[in-house]
Amino acid sequence: MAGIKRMRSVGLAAFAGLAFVCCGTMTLSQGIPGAAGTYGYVLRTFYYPVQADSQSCPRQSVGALEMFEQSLSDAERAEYGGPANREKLIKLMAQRLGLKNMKITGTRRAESVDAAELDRLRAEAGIAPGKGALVSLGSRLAYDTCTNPEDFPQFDRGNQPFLGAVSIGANLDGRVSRGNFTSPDGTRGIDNNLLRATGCNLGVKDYGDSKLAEKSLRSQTAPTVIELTGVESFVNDDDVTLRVYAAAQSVDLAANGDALPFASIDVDPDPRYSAQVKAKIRNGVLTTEPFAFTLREKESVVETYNGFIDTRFKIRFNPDGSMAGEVSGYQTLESLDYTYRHFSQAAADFSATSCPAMISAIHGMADGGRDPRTGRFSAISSAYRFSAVPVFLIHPTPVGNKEARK
Amino acid sequence: MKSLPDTTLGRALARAVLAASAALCVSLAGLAETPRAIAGETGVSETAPSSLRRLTEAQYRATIADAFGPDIKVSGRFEPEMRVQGMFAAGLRTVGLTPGGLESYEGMARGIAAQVVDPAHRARLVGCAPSSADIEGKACASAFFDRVGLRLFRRPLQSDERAVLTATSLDAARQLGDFHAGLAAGLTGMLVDLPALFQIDRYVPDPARRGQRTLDAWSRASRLSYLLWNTAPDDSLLEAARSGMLMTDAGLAAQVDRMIASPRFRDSGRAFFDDFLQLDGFSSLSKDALLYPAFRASVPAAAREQTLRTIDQLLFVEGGDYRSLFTTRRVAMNRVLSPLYRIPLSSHDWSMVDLPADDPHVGLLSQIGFMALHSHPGRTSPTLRGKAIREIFLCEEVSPPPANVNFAIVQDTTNPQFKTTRERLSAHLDDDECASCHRRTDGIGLVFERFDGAGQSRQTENGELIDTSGTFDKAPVADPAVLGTAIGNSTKASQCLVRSAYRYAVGRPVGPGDAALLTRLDGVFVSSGYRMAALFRALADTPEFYADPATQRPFAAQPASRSK
Repeated sequence: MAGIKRMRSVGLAAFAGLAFVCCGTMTLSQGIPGAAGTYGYVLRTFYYPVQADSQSCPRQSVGALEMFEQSLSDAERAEYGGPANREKLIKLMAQRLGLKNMKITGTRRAESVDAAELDRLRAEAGIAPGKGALVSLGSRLAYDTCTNPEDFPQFDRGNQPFLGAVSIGANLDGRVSRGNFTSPDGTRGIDNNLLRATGCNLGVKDYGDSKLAEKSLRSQTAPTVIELTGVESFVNDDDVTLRVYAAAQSVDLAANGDALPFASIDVDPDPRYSAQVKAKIRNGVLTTEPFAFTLREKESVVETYNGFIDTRFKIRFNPDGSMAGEVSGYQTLESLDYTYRHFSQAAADFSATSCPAMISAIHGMADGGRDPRTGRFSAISSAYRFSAVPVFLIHPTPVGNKEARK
Repeated sequence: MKSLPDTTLGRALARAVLAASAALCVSLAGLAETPRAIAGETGVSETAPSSLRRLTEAQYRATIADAFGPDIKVSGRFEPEMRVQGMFAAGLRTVGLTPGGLESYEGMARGIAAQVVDPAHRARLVGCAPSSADIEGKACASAFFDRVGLRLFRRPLQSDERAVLTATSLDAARQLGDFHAGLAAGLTGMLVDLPALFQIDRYVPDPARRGQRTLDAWSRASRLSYLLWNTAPDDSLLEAARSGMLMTDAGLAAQVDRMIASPRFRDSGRAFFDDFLQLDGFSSLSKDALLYPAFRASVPAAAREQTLRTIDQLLFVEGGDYRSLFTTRRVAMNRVLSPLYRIPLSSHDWSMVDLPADDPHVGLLSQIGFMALHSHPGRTSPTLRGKAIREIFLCEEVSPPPANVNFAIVQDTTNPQFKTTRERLSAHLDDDECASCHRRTDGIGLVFERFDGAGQSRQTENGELIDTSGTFDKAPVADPAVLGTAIGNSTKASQCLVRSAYRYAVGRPVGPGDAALLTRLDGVFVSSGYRMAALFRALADTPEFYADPATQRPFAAQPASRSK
C-alpha cells in the first residue's frame, strides 16, 4: 500500500514538474508574450466521430458517379459499369455533363487570383463566366458537380440521414428536441445536425472512424495552434484565456510520425484565424464561453477553412502535457459550402460523394445563426473531437521591437 | 571538353600518373618517401627520408576549397581513420591507402579536375589557353601546374614533377583533341599523388640547435597551417616559407600570432574537438523511434553541431576557460534540438541560449549529444557514459567487458524486481568479475540517470524516482552540476586535454620522450587560465613541434608562454 501511495505522489510530482518546465522556460524566451501560466498546443487531430453501423446507416448515401451510372442504358452500363471501367465512366460523365478540369501553369491560391485573371482562365478552359473554381490547391480550374452543385440538380438525391442516437457534443439550444442525440455520458438534447446530414456518406464515415482519425494528423501543413494564458492551476482556475491562431509553419513530425511535442512553432498573426475567449478550469476540465473562430485547413488537395459561431471548447489535460477534447457549436454554411466547392470531382468520385446532395442536406438541416429578419439559418450544429500536443508558440516580433533590438 | 571520367583513355592517363606515385607508395607503413634531389630552382633543400601523415577528410576538403574555391564539389568516400590513444589524429601516421581507397581518391580527383577545367570555371581557375604563341599550350599547362602545385603540394613543384605533369597533360590533350581534357588528366594525377594526400615531413639540420634536425620551411608551413587552420597554407605563410622567415623564431612567432588571431583558427578548434570528443559517433547514431520519438533522424547531426558550436563560441570566439565547458548553461541551439530540451526558440537559425537555472542540462557532459551518444538505442547506460568520460576527458583506459559476460539483468528494463537502471546494475554487480570494472565507470555514469537514452530530462524510471548520486575520485557527487565542476577542476582533465592537443598536433601517440614538453605545456595551459589559444600558441611556438623525432633530444626549457 505504501508503495502505491508513493507511486501516486511521484506521478503527480512528475506532472507538476512538467508544467513547471513549460512555464519556467516560456518565461525565459525572448519575444514570447505572457508570463508564467502560458501554454501552447498544436492540433494533431480534429474530426467529427461517426459510429456508423447498420442501425445508424441502414443505407449508404450514393455518389454522383454512381447516380450517373444508374442513369445509363443497359447497353451503356454493360460497357461503362463495374470497377474495371471506372476511368471510362468518369470520362463519359465529364463529356456528357460538360465537366471541365484544366491544369493551370503555376500553382495559385484561389484568393490571390483576381476576377479578370479568373475570367481569362475560365475562357481558356471553356468554362462559362462566373462558373468553376480553382481547386487542388490552386493547381486546377474545374467546373463540376462540386464547384457548381446548383447546375446538377439530378444529383441532389440519394443522401441518407444518419439515424444513430449517440453523439458527442453539447445541448446548444437548451432544448431536448426530436432529432437530438444523447451523449455517451447520457446527456440528452445534443445538437449535431452535421452528423445527421452527412454521417452516412462513405468519405465522412471513414474519416470519422476514431481508430483512423486518431492516427491521422489533420491539416499538417497548415495547422492550428491554441494558447492558454493565465493558467494558475490545471485543476481549478476561473480566469483563463484561450486563443486560437493559425500556425505559420507545418507541424514538426517526430520520429514515430506523430506531431512532435515541445517544438517551437511560429504563430501566423492573420486576424482571420485569430480569436480569443475566456475559459474556466473546473475539476481538471477546461470549458470556454461560446465564441466565433475560424480554423484554416490544408489537406492534400483542399485548402479551405472551418468557420464556427457560438462554439465552445471542452478540454482535458493529460499527464504528458498533451490535451484532448471537444469543440461543440455551429459550423457556418459558408465554410462548408466553400469546402465542398473545392472538394473536386475526383475526390467526390473517390469517396462516393454527391456534392449537390450533401450540400443540400447540410443546408436543409441548418439550425444555427438564424437571421431574425429572414428566419434563415447560416450555420449547422456540429461536434468535433480533437487532440493537441504541447508546443512553444513563437509570436512574431512587432516591427517596432525589431528596430529597437537593432 | 570531352568527358574524362568515363573514357578509357582518361583512365589510362590517370593510371599513368598514379604509376608515378606508386613508386613513392612502396610502403606507407614505413612512411618512407623516396628522396628527391630538389635543390636549386625551387629553393627547397635536399632532404632526408621523411614521414607521412594523411590529410583528414576535413583537411582534404578545405585544401581543395582553398585551392579552387568552395563551389568545387568533392564527392566520394574517404578512407576510414584509426583512433590511437583516443584520437584519429594520432593514427594518421599509421594509416596508408588501400587499393579501394586509392580508387576512391581517384574518383574524387576526376570529379574535381573536371569541374576545375569546365567552361564555367576555366577562366578563373586555369586562366590561360593555347594561343598562337603557345600553340600546344605547354606554357599555359606549366604555369597552371606551378600555381596549383603550390596549393596542393604545399611547396613549389620540382622541375621533374612539372615536366612530367605538363608532358602527360599535353599528350592526353593531343589524343583527346582537347587541351582542357588533357589538363584535367594531369590534375587528376596530381590530386592522387602522395604530396597532395599526405603531409610530408622533410627535415633539415636545425640551424639553432646543433645536432638536431627540424622541419624545412615548406613542411613547417604545412604543419603549422593544418594545426592552426586545418587547411593548407595561405599566401602569407607560403611566402614566409619561401623567404626563410618561417625558419626564424621571430618569423615563426609572427605567423603563429597572425593565424591564431584569424577567424580560421576556429576551424582548427572544431576539428580538434570533433576528434577529441569522438563526435564521429554521431554519424551512425540512431535511437528507437517508439521509445524516443523526439530523437528524429536530423538530431544526431544537430547534436554534433551543437557541441561544436558551443565550444567554438565559448572557447574560441570568447576565448573562455576550458573548464567552463563542464558547467556552462550557455549552449548553441536550433529548432531540431530545442524540443528535446523542452525550451522555446524564436530563432530559425543556430543561436546561443542560456538554459534556465533549473534546467538539469548543465555543461557539455549533460548535453543531448553526449548523453545520447553514450547510451544504447533504447535505454541509458551509466557504464557507457562513465567509460566515455574516463576515456575521453580523463584519458584513462577502461577495459572492454569479457566475452562471456551475462547482460540479461541490465538489459531487461521491464523486470518489476529492478525498476531502475541503478537497481539492475546493482544486481549485475553481484558478479565480482563485473564489479571491478563497473566501479570505475558507474559511479560517474549513474549521476546522469535523469537523462534518458536520448538525453532528455526525466525524473522517474518505471514509476520510481531516479537517484542521481554517484562518486568521482572517491568523493560523493549528487548531480551532473557537481560532477561537472569536479571533473572540470581536476588536474587529470586539464592534463588530458593538453595531451590530446599534443597528439592532435604531432599526429602520433604520446611517448616517454614527450614528458618534459608536456609538463611545460601543462604549465602554460594552467597559467593562461585554461585558454585554448594559449595552448595552441605554445604548441606551435615550441621547437619540439618541428623537430625530427629521430634526432630529438631534450630541449632547453622554454619560456612558459609568450604574452599574448
